Amino acid sequence: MELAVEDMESGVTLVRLNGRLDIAGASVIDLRFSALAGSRRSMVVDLSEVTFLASMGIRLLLGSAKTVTSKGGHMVLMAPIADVKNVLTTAGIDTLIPVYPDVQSAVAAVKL
Amino acid sequence: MPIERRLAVPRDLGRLDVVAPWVDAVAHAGDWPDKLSFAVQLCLEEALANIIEHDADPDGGPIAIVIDDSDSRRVAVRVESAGKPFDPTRYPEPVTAESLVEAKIGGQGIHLMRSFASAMRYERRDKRNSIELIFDRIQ
Repeated sequence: MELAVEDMESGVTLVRLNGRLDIAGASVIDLRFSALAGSRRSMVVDLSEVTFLASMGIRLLLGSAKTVTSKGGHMVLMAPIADVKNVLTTAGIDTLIPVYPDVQSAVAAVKL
Repeated sequence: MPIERRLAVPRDLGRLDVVAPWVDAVAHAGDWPDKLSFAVQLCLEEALANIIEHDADPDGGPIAIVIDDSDSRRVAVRVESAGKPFDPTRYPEPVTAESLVEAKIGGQGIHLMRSFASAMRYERRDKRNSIELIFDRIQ
């Protein structure tokens, strides 16, 4: 699991994830991702290169979204592949963390 | 060389990364649809995580996984473990949160198993747990 961070001029932080967000993948990025959530107020999480999502990954996304929101910020998800989107929908996460199809709409949604 | 349909994994969350490549190999050999492979991997990860979190005693021994994909209509996956009784079919569905603030973290694994498998059965025999997950090939 790889994590890349881009702080955009708009004040939005774009977090690109790449790989499997399963037990192993979530444990690799847990500390860094949680630290980002603790220090940013506008976060877009790009899931377009995430090939697998299980409940450990959901825990990480949900916990981070709660952290960002508790500071008055916003976190959204972006461009999951169909299988990953199906997991998000089945778990009801898409009703708690908004999911956008592309970077433009996702950034517009969290821009302060 | 034929792909082995049986795998034993240690009772350790940090050592489950062998499961997905194994399922991939079985799926490739059996010409499964991608969605079926995804569903089997997801349900296996959730089953193993729940078994280990429920009974982390390392003396419980390894967890055995057996895949039977000989039926052209469905794939059966059996997960067998020693230790405390653990029946995922008896767990209640998680409460749906109305907002992010109310949302509780965790508790989604068994819900995902129920949703992505076509059927889930549990049997307790000789102090061992046996969870059988059935997946229809056409999903």
